[in-house]
Amino acid sequence: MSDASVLAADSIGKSFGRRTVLTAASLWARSGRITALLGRNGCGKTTLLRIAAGWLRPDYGLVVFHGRRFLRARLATLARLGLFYLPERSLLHTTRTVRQHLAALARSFPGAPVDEAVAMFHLADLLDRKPPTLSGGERRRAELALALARRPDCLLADEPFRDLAPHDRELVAGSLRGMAARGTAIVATGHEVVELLDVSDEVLWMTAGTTHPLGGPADARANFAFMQEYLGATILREAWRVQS
Amino acid sequence: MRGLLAVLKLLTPPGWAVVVLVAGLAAHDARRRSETVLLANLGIPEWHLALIAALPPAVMETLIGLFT
Repeated sequence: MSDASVLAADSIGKSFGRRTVLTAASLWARSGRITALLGRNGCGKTTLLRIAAGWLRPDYGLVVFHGRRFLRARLATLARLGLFYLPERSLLHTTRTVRQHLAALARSFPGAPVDEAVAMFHLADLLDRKPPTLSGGERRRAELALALARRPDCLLADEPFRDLAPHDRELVAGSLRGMAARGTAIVATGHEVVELLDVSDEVLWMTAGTTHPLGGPADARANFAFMQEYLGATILREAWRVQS
Repeated sequence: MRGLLAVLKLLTPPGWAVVVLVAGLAAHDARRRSETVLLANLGIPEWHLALIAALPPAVMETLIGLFT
């Protein structure tokens, strides 16, 4: 565990019934850096992120946030200390408009740059609409606007690029970089490997219930086991073809 | 099982309220919904969320309205 970490989930274990998902998984979020948490479907990325966010109780392990150690972290507590957790599924309440969501955030955290978030994610025309009337991409943009407006010290984003068109992915990648430039520690998951590797400073590979720090994106791309087991042979052949 | 049923039959209305509350709190983890993730991100204390999660949807909707 690095001392520079804003958030660390250390040696986390979690089972659901007889199915062990995490054995000794660890995760770090460092100030001003973006960490991509990558791994196959069902490998436990979401479970680890939920535990780190205080949204799921681990069987064992420790969460440390801003130097405070939590055997049983709680999201509401961590949120008040500066964490924002963007879940995999919808964050928005179905009967409230986008404007009401942003207003609630501004009430809870006075000074939140709501207007900046609205402009950044082109939400002006969507402010009075409720989530069921939004497309998947529009919903995701509204959720990310909440995260941006919160100006968290640490953002745990589960599949931030999900449902987004290529242009919106660039928008989200830019906003993540902007947040990191302001000092936010970010951990992002997903299967949008191109975007995640492009935007990240560090790569954490999750497999067999544990995590492996691979270094930077260039190191990850050069890691044969990661390439072969996660990216797959087709991508590997494509990479060789492009190189040659 | 019979012993448990016998005890439940003896419960007064406040006793039932306690049982329902405890059952709701115990079910909290399983019933977490997107609404409560949002409220937790706003820093709403955990026990508020537990109460909200234990309530019927119509009552929960009213409470969510108060928070958002």
